[in-house]
Amino acid sequence: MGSKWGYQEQKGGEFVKIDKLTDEQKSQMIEHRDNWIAIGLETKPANRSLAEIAVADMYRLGGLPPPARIVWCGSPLSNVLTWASVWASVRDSVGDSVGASVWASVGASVRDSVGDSVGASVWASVRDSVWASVGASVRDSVGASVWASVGASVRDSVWASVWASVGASVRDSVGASVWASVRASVRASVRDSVGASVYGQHDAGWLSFYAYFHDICGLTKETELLVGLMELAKNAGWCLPYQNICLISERHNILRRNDAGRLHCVDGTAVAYPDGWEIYALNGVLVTKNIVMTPANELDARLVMTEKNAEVRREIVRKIGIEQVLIKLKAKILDKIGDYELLQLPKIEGMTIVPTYLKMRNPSIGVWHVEGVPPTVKTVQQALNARAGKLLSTGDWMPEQLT
Amino acid sequence: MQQLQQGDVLLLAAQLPEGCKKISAGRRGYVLVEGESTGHAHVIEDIEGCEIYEKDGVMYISASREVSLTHEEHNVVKIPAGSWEVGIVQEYDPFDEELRNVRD
Repeated sequence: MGSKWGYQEQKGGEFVKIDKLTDEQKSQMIEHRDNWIAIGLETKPANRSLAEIAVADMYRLGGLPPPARIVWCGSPLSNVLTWASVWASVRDSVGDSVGASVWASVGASVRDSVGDSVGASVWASVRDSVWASVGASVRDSVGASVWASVGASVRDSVWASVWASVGASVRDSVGASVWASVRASVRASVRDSVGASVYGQHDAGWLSFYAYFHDICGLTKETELLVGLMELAKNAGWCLPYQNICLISERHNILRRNDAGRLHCVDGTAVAYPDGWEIYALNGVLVTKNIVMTPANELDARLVMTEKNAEVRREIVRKIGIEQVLIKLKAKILDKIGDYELLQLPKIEGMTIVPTYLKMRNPSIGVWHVEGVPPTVKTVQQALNARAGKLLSTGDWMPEQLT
Repeated sequence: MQQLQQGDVLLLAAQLPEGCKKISAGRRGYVLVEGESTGHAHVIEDIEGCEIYEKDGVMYISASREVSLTHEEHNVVKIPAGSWEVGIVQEYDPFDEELRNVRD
């Protein structure tokens, strides 16, 4: 007998794999995908009561009692900093056990271990073609819109902000010589704290995949362990789960993206949270407030020379305009092949050499890059060879595919 | 030797070195490089017939069939079957006066 879910019920109530989606299930795919994209990009205040129920379910499904205390924070950054502050003040009196992250139970176990086990259960219930179809139409699409475009940037910003503030305070308090020896462990501690987060609404990408099987295909038992995470995603931002205490973040209240879906705002913050934490971004690249808010004609072209990150430098060039950059920096062209130009720029403060740069166009998206090459380089080809580094022991770097 | 390039990731046809260790694929497949400021990554998502190795901090690809290297902004690079050494584009820092991996 066929079931409404698309799989076949056999004698004894056992089911065989879903070998294809019904027309009704297929017709719900786009709406399901769009619903989960909306969940991931939601900017309304968190639904705190439902989120707290979801957290209790997460703990329960991870085999733990619900946290005795829930602390609401204004942003994922606030989650991490609040925890660092709370933990520092109570650690001596309560001992390590209370402060133990239970991410392994409610985060890792549901996102990775349980995720894999849920994955195995769903995998066992559907044919490859169904798995692939839902993966391509739902998970990949929601993931690209939410995690790749927003979640990863928020994570990187939390990491950078926490590292900047925690790292700086530790550095100031311990002094340069001690800092050199503890830097790695402090960095690891910050990374662990950010990594111990459950990403709430930003987990929409992979959760949407299992939610489809849960909501549309009736695989409720196979996906049961993810219900708490799904509900958290629908109702709040990130959370930091610890034994007896769980910190939950509000959702972002401002989210601005470009036509490609990447974080982008030319005259303000691309992401903001209710506590005032802001993220500035141009075309998906995280940049400083100064780069966004300073008018292009007032932006110092020397930033192209001082900025260490190639993607940030690209956005500075894009904002000012490559021609204006070269004029402002008084660039001298040493050699040219196609879209490549070898440039000599004037020495600026902090340099003891006259710098040489290679101007090039990204062949995939057409934007211009300016990157430093050794001052001994005299031609574009020498510059391309130098950029290949030790990989190139002989001959010239002339790739057959360049994208 | 055959050369391929996707943004700041370089691939050079090469033999796998002796003593290299196999690396496990992650959820997304094999991530060769991940950007700091964008979260974008150079990834081999369909890993069937493909293995990644590492020795002395250098990654190597061994593919028994053509595999695709994807990235959020760059067009796909089709990696032919064979073994490949992975490199990162170098840029010169005129302040520190040294070559280093491009940071993005």
